[in-house]
Amino acid sequence: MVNKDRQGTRGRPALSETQGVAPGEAPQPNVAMDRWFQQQLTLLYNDVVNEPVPKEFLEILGKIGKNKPSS
Amino acid sequence: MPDSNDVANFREADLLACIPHLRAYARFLTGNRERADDLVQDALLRALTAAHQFQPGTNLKAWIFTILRNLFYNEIRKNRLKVQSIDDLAGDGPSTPATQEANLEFADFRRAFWQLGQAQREVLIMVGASGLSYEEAAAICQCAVGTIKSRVSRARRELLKILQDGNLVQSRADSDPTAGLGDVLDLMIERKSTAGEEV
Repeated sequence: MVNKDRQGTRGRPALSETQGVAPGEAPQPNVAMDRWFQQQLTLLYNDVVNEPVPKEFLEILGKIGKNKPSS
Repeated sequence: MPDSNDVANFREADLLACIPHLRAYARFLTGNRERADDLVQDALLRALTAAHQFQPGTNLKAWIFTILRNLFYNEIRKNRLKVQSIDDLAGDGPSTPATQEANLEFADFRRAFWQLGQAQREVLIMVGASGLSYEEAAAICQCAVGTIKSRVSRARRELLKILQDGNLVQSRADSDPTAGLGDVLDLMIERKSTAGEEV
């Protein structure tokens, strides 16, 4: 049972880490919040990961071939 | 028959695959696009120099993350690396097309994220986003697994509290990417002094 006093805004789930339960019961993890949190974090991270790799980095990798040990 | 692009103990393709993750990790450490890429370049060069030290079969990404992290904190200690604001990221939304409401949610989340301390941002990125395990993150940060777990838990709670309380800074310039950095450095200096290592 979700605590309506802490209903999320803008469509996101309620921001409590646990969901309200009846007295005497252990609080349940807020699965929807966990999922939303992970989704936002992934978006934040992937914003950078999905950028094209600048050529300077590729030039560095080109040094690998020159550094390989002779057989 | 060995790959012609093999060097020491890892392949060019494997290193190439690490670069986007390195850039993301560095971006969230430094808060600055240019500084982050400089850091990544330094880390790649260091990795190439120390390639023979990499243990085949272990996590290359974690290994290079460690190199990059050490470079970052070394530069901070030497006061060479100036962490700037993230104004260059102003207006950036998620690369995946989304509704306007979803963009607003993401904008709120991002602003709340940047209000966290540096150590908290770091563990959220390492464990929550880049796919590293708690054990790998602990090895990179040279701390106990329990420390990482509690740090992640606190970071999540704090970020959610910022969102819940509506305490989002109005301007990204008001967000300090170095928030909490002093505490982390003090902890590192104390730890190394205890271990008898040169800081």
